[in-house]
Amino acid sequence: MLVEVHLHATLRLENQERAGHIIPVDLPESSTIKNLLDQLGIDIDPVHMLFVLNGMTSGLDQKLNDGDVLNLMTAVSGG
Amino acid sequence: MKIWRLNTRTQNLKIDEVPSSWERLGGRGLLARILVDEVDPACDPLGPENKLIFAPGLLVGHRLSSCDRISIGGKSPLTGGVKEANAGGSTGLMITHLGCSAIILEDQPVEPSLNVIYLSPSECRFVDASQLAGKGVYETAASLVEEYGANVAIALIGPAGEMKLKAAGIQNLDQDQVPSRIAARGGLGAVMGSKGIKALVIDSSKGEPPGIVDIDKFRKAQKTYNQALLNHPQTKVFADYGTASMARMSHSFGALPTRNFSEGKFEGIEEISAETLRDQLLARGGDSNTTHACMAGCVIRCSNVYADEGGKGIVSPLEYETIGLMGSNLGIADLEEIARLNWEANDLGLDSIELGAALAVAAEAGKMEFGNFSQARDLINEIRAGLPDGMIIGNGVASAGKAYQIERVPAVKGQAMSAYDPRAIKGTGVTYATSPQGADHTSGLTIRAKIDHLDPNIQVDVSRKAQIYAAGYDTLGVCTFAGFGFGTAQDTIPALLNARYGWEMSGDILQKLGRETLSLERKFNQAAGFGLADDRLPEWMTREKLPPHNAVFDVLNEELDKVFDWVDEVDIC
Repeated sequence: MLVEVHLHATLRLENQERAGHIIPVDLPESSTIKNLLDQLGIDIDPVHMLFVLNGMTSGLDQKLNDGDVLNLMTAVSGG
Repeated sequence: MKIWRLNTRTQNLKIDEVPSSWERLGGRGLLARILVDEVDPACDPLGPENKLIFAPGLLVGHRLSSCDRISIGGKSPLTGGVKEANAGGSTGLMITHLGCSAIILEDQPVEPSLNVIYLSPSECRFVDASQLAGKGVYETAASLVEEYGANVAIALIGPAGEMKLKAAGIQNLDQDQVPSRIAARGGLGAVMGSKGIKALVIDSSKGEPPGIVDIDKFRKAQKTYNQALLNHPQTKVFADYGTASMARMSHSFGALPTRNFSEGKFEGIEEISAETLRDQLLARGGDSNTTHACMAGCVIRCSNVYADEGGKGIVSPLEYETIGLMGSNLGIADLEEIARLNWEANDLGLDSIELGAALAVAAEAGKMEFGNFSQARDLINEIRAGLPDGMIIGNGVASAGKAYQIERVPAVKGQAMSAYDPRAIKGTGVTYATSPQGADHTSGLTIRAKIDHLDPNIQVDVSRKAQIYAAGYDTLGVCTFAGFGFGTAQDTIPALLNARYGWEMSGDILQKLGRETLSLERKFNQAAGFGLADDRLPEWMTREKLPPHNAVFDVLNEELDKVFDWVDEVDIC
């Protein structure tokens, strides 16, 4: 299945070998957000991250579906 | 430390001891205390009874990273209630080096006049400033820096403040003498204008930092705090991308104000994102700077300098709230155009949030097309020229809504919402509704909370906590972004206060200060005539669905009324 992953800010820099910051990721069926992080090699402490799946706050164990849009970001606030 | 009272009618300085009930407050909390003690809540905010107060927070004065903010306050001409707006730059630091806990501007001249007040540890001088009348903030600041030297701090107003427009703020120099650190919200620039003061020039070159009772303990706590701040991932994000990084975050939640709060997603998001901002600045070079500090000693450095393609600086900083309100909310998908509108707002001395919101209402009324930069700039120029549409827009979003008969006005207590649509981030909606400050981006944002932001039943507790922390930090003079350092090293707050003042505060001092501040602010507002009906979002937001979630604001009124159900229990003398 294909999930559209939006990498925010510093996550983009840490994944510079990937073109752009909106990337399609091919995953086995029933994969979770944690599986996706492992596949992308993102090892930031999840405590400091936000996972926004189709516009909603989500968690590490959330299963993904084909066509999902997942925003991955360091949790920040302010401005 | 002393209280300096400057009478703007008699042009006299009176120096008072700090009353005992004010001693353990600073910044936002001290402002609220002074307003409750000394300002008639029913007074005309632009009349002689109102006071304009400059109060550095409790930790200001020592170049602690991100802890030198100035709180400016009075009765708001925009909301009619309590107002605190805070800013970085050097004003807070320099006021403490004068030996002041607060500077209070009182009364007003009988005949219209315009003065600069020059303050040093040994001198207070009112200087006629009629030659600066109508001059923009940038030209005024440059002229004052030339006259008084590069080491002074300056708080000043632009033409908007002189015109007493309700969206006028007070600008402050950053550490590079750029006058764009604005205490923006609530019309405090109009209060300064009503007292005939163009600028406050603070020369502390012969002053001294406030004393520290136990310097060893202070330095130890400072080291722990600095390390916690440096280690926090948010610090890295804000250093590289600044607050602009909120744009895609808000967009991902469907909460990015778009075309007068009619949508939560913007098709031009990539063009106005922090990622594009950074790429542009790195490519353009010259004056561009992705990582800039507004205060000496700040290790976060979330500020930036935005330059044109030739590398010539346009504006510093370009922040998320401006990108939201003057970008997506106006349908403008071009950072350079937003930066140029931001410069105009700064030069007039206007709050870019209030101005962006008012322009979007004007756009809905057909005064400009959404997405049309030059028409937006033309309307801003009508403010500068004192033309009728300019006066309507310069008095804020509620003024624009009334004059143009538009229902979709995003405001609470008359103050425009910041760049988080409260139907998609409902905890922030609770904050907008109930904060004594009106809808305000500094009063307790909740977007970072790992919760379902659309669930109306869980927002009150989240907002209450965020509001208490925000009020606490604003009383300390601490930038909200430093909160992430203090959050992981919580003992450093009482440790720093105790070492600085010789107190014996316990670990929950931040919450205590926050609660006391909010209680005082509520007390002032109640005496000014505010009631439960003022603690609501505009009714259209409970009916009109916000795409993409098609959410309405549906937190129950009786839940909103519980946000401050603890207020009566707090001991305020």
